[in-house]
Amino acid sequence: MPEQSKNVLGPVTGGCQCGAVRYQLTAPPSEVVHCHCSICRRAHGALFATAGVYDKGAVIIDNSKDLLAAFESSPGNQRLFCSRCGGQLFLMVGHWEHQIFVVLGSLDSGQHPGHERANEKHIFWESRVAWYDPCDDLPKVEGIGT
Amino acid sequence: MTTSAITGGCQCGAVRYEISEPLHDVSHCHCSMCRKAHGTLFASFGRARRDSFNLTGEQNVTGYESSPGMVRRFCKSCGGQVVIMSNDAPEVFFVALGSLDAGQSPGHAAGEEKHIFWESKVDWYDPIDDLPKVTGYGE
Repeated sequence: MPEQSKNVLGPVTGGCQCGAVRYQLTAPPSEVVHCHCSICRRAHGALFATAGVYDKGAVIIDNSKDLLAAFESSPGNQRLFCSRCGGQLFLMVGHWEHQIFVVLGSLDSGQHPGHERANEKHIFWESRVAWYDPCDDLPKVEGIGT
Repeated sequence: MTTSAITGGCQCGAVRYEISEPLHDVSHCHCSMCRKAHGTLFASFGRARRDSFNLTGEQNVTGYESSPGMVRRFCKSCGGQVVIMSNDAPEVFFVALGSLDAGQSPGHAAGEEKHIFWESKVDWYDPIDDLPKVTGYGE
């Protein structure tokens, strides 16, 4: 049996912690990655960061764009966060014209992003902290895999 | 500082810290506020005595009071979450463990690690490690 892909009734919503920045996602992500790279760990202050890959057209940010701050975490890559509460929200990769990463801890109420579980994996597994292992059965790849 | 000091900081390096002794009581927190604050499915913290914690770059730090008396401190420049300060525990900081340098261990003792606010976790991702999972902070 294929793993369930949640039929999303209406857009998935999210935003930062303080609510200053809000967004809607009108389509599910093509892929969900749990990234263990050192940059994600620092950016989020967490052991790994979980993000979905979305078509830019599926991400509608409300009238709060001027509250987004950006940090170029590696050349051409911009991490966007709320300047009021520090909540990380989006990652734009320079050479990806049409796609954007949405950080999935920012979804409201822990909603399912709507992806197929077959499209979910751990990336940069070789960079993970040595002292914690989530022990799940998802694929784990070096770097971004193939 | 001893040679065993734990070091860390934000992503851009504007905020740095040293902790002179091992951390205690590592918590992987799944509450909705931690998820939003970090943008991750859970956030991991270790407890440090404020006396053991030496911060540099204070001018680059700002804070957000995510619940009454609980301030999450982060770097203004890069948004990196660094510590939580709670009025209920004025003698300690809760250090965001993703901010430790080079993924180093917080140095906590075996048995001092658990998942908290497990009832709040997202239903679509399960760490299945063998750590204790408690409701709220546990007892």
